Amino acid sequence: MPFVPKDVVFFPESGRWVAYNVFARTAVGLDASGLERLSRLDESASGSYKIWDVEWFSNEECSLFDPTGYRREPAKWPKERLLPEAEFMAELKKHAIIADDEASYLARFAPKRNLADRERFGNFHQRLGQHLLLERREKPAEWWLKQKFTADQGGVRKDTLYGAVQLPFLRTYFSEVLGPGSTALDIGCGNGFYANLMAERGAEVLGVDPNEEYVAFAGSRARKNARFRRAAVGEPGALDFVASGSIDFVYMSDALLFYFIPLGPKAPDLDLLLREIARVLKPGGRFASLEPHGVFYLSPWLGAPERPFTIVSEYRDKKFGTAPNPGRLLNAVLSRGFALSRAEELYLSETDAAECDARAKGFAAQFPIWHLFEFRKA
Amino acid sequence: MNVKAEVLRYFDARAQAPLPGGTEEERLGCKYLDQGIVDSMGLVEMITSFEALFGIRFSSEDVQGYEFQTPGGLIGLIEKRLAEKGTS
Repeated sequence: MPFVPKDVVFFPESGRWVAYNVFARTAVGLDASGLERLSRLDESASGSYKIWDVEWFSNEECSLFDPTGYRREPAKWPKERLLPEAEFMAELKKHAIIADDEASYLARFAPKRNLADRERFGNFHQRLGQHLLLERREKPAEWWLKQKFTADQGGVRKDTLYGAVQLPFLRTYFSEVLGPGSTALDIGCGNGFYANLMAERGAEVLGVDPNEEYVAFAGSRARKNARFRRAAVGEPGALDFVASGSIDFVYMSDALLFYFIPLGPKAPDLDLLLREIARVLKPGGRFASLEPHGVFYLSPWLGAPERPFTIVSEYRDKKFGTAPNPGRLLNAVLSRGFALSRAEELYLSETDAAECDARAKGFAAQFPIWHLFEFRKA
Repeated sequence: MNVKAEVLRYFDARAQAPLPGGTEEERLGCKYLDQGIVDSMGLVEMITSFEALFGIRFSSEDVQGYEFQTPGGLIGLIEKRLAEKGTS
């Protein structure tokens, strides 16, 4: 007999209901009659029920645009479908609102086997790849830049939390730790925007990235005291051209997480990375890592915009999430010869002229989307 | 255009390994994604190639559906899309 997994919750939305599986991040829209049908799954029935296709990849425009995964406002819902009993039940199963048995339901919480696999839920990166490649027909590498930076790649999008939370924090932080005469290394520099921001503070900056195209682009926009070079970071010898004890400040952003929750089948070598960072740092030099918050990044944005709440559905073992929890990250670095010198959780502050929507502002004012940990050589 | 011949020709020419099976029926029933005969980027390339070749457009439902997972299902799906095109 089908059952409603305990992972399913129901939210009221203007007279209708959203059935939402908090682990699978799947959803359907229902009316009272559909909801009522769910309350007596032990009975057979022959009616027809309305269903609204409210589930969508809500990170579409930006990884930080409402990661919840369903359309909230009924005014924006697609037109309902009236489905006979059997099709209604099949649709509920597809979206993990009901399941036939515990074993087949749990089997769906596994990595996707291939790009077209819709049965297994996979992690965020797999869902993003599936959405971009199959629905939008867009290259993920290009999307990652577009979702964060302005079209000319010259600035951070102000309508995102990157622009509203991360950038104001970094402007201040870089001013505190860098100045004329200091040297900085940006590992995983991407298009070079942040390396250039460090260079604006007077530092001599070297940006390295494994992606040839990023490095070429960054080089074309380099500030006077910034240079860029391709380096297969994470592989032996990749940073050999950086002299030992030459760097005041090593920075990594959205990069350390892949050493914990890898994109591919194998995680890159964290020991090697941290040994190299320790080697290039001057005595007393700093290593700062700004990373997605292991609890709140991609956590659903629920509740009223001004009174947000979220549901934490995984923490220690991540099936969907992409960032390690803070304890795991800290312990990994601290056990490899570093000491913690600063820890910040990044919130939207009142003074930030945020141009993102009310829900994003409400959530980011209350929950940190990123944290920054700064370390010194112990 | 002979859809079956074109689809099988594509697999022969572009897939990372031949479709396994002693008979055509077995080859047409091969779950080529699960068996690693077409990888993720190969799938994207295959979709755009078939769309260009047959002048059709697959929906995201099509490409994530059960039919799409075997050459035989794919042939049926392409024929269905071609028939719709013919009648529209």
